[in-house]
Amino acid sequence: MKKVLIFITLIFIPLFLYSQQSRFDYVEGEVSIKRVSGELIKAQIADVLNIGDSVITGFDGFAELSLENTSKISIDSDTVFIISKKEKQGQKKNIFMVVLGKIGFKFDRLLNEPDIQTPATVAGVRGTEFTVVSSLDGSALYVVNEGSVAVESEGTLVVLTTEEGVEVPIGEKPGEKFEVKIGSVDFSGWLDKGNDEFEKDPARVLSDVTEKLVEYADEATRFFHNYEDSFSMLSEMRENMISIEKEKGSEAKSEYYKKEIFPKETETSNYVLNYRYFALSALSLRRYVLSSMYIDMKTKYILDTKNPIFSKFLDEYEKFLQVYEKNVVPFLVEADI
Amino acid sequence: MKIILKLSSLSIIIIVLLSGCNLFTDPVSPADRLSLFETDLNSDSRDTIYENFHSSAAMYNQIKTSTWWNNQFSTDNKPFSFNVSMSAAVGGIITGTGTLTYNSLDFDITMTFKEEDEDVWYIFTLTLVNPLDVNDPLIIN
Repeated sequence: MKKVLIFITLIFIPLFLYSQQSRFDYVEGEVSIKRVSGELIKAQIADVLNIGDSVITGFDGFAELSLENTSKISIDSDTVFIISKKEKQGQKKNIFMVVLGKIGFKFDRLLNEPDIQTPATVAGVRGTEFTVVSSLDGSALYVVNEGSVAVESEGTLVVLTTEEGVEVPIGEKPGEKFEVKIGSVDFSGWLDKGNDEFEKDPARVLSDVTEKLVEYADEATRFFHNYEDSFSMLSEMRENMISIEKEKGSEAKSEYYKKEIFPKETETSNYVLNYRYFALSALSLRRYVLSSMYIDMKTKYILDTKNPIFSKFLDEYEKFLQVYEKNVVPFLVEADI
Repeated sequence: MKIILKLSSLSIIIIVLLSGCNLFTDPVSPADRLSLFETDLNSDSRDTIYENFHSSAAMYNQIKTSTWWNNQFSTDNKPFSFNVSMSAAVGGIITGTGTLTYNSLDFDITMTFKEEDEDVWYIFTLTLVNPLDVNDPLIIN
């Protein structure tokens, strides 16, 4: 029976993993893929998206991805979308990050449902059709067409069902749920509102984004310490195994390795997966949110660089970069940057 | 003499084109790749071991950090020895199944291989099973 289980596991897992890839079904206008290797390429139909890749659409861009042949992801113009991965309760979980812009999800009978993340929120989904919008001021809007989405921010969970929506400002708890009439939601108006919020007080908005960066950096540091502790324990266990073999023989060693060390080895590398996940989330804030804000401000104040609003923004910008350099860069590798 | 030289050059070009031979990279079959991976695992460094994996492997970015390799593939567990049989290619993927021996213990392993450049195969996924808990394997994908 055990042999059959092993055989099924060995055959099923690679097929399952292979089928989980996201593939471009439709591409229109300017749509680019930034590969994990750092390479930036123009997206084309049938291109495959892998963990760590980003999709960036221009002002005229639109793309549709299929996942497991049953699910669709629609990426609107001026959007940044990243596929990431982390370990959660012993399982490796795909994370779909809506860094900026608007994305529609239609998940149908997925074997492994991903979490959805914006700079402000994390959401779990279940057999669902919904839209996520993430604006320049970091706030998020979720609207559910069908099914259920659990949106979490600052420790508070709101469960949305069919024809319900919620707004979540960055660094705050989700607002009150509201009813939506499907097809009547003005997403671009909502995105404009986010841009207006940023225009009103860019330094304050950037300060909120910096707080989110600090959260990501803290989580990366926490998982890195977990990794160090786990690795140190693992080293002791490996030394212990040598003593067990000397004292009790190779059977006892085999038992100890399979029962104690093998799971610890997996756990140790999962901590690496998680500290890298938070570091890469921070990198996406730096690369896409901060740079969009900076370009917006630089363009607006190009002839008025002494303007106090711009100066205040630059002070916050420097603070962000200091946190990033000190607390995030140590967890990145050259290929990320 | 000039004509012979020209004809010889032309013949070489035609043979290269017809055989699809790549002049710039040596071919690496899945079995060659496995052998290269085994050699790297038996070395003292984990800095470039990820280069045996296909760049579209989902965890490619994660496994670039040498800290990730402090797991079952740690240098502490050397020597590593593979005994893997390859299947025929299906949809551009070749699957290898067999055992990986380290710490003088055998573990069931499944690997898939995918071509990146012409005739150069890389590891695409890897699943290493602990017989005591088959539901919690080490996966690189």
